[in-house]
Amino acid sequence: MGVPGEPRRATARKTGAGILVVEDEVLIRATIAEQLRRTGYSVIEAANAHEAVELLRNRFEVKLIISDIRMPGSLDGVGLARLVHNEFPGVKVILTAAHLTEVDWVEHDGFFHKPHDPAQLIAHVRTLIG
Amino acid sequence: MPDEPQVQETILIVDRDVLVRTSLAQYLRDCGYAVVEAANAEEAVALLRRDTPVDVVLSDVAMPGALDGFGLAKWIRTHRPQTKIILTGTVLRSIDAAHDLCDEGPLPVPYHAQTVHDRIRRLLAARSATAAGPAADRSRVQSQDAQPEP
Repeated sequence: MGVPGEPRRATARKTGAGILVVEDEVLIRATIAEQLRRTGYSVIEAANAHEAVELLRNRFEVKLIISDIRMPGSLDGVGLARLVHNEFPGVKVILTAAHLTEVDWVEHDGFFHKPHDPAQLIAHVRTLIG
Repeated sequence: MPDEPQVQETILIVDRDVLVRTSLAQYLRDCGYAVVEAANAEEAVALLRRDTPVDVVLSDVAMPGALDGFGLAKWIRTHRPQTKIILTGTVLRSIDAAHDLCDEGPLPVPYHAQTVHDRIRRLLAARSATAAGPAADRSRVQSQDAQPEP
């Protein structure tokens, strides 16, 4: 509450490794992003793979991408993972999907079947980027 | 209570341009707000229907889909009358609105709104230099730069 008469103060935003959440279903995207922010990560969001590429190519700080596979547009999560592997080799990629139980045809750094356990996702994120 | 704010206001940013949306969201988070993002009005409605606690909606007017900013504002006045909505027609107005919010925010303004403007302008210029895109996007900042604010 603070001292009477003084303005209510909030803490500075926690900063941490940059994570990009790529998901066309806004409620899922917002939930994942919020869970990661509460853990202390800096998170940016993209509604599809094309937006994700735009953020990456414009040098927004990203160390890890969490991307759904099935998304509208000409680029899906698998295509995004391949692009990232070629253009941004230092960026790790976790893929998610509701219609698959595993992914073995593209290099990635983790896969989660939707709906996933948030604690497990965050634990895996920690192993990848700290 | 450890270093957590007692009450953190939430702003919902609605903008079809991911570079603008992300830049504004980062700025407002640096000002101490919780920020939720939507790429269009339909996404905004979905978030608001979920009872996401939103205090202010900062929305572009022109958006793809069946619902534009005016339609979103009407929906909010009907279903979430306690939520304040700020409509902006240009990137500059969005930046000005974000700066006003930061002035009222819980943390000292982290950097001048001009920094946000310069950053977004560089991002949009870089986009137009590398790929053809909708002229409307590129003109959102340039047209305002050429004309005085009314």
